[in-house]
Amino acid sequence: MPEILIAFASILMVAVSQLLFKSAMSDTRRLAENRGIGKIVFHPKIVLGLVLNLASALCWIVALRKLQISFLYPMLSINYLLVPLGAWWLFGERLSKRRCIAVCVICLGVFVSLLAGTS
Amino acid sequence: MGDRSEIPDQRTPESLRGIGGTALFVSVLLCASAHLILRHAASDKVGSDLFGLFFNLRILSGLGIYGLGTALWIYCLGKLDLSLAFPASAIQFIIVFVGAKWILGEPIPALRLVGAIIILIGIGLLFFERRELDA
Repeated sequence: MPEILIAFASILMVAVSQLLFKSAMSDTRRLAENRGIGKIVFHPKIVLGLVLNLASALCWIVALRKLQISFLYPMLSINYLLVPLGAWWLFGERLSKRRCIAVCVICLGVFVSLLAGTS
Repeated sequence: MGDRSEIPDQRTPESLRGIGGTALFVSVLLCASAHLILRHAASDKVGSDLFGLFFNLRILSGLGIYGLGTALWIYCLGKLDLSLAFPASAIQFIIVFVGAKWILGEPIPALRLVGAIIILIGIGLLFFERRELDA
């Protein structure tokens, strides 16, 4: 079943694009000469992130044609775990106990919201 | 006490209560509005041909607002931790639910209301996070 892989790729691409955006903004903070708006817009990581977002949307549409919405939509909540974990792992962001709890609560809330009303 | 906290350049210690949090809220509000505008335009079926659909004024303004929201979102990431900003952006679900109910007149299932309340609790936890005292 390749559709589920396409759906998962779509979700992963969103997570990667967010990590790329964050990484790009960290770069521009560090390099004072890179502060111009053009340097940010055309930063390779920003461009790649935007392309990934577009590719993700296309993959999502492809996946939607074969898989049920009630099955697909709740999958979107995975990113609310993946993105903070990625930020912790790659950028060393500190996950306080409170932030960990908040992340899990929000992930659950998004899951429950998307579970509903897709019948 | 994290072994990873010695990367000073990448730390963005702002809380959601500062300018970063305000910008985040505006950014998410823009993206949610864009979703609602696009939904409103798509449900109209003005001209079933793809060309007419794309060059519809509402579609174009929806996409423009979406772009503006994304630009502001990237600005926010220069101010806030990604592990703070991304979960907080789930407030978009709440805005879209409220907009879908009151503007588009879509019914909101009870389970979705429960989900919205759970999301709000999580965002509340993030909003009142104390950055200096975390461990």
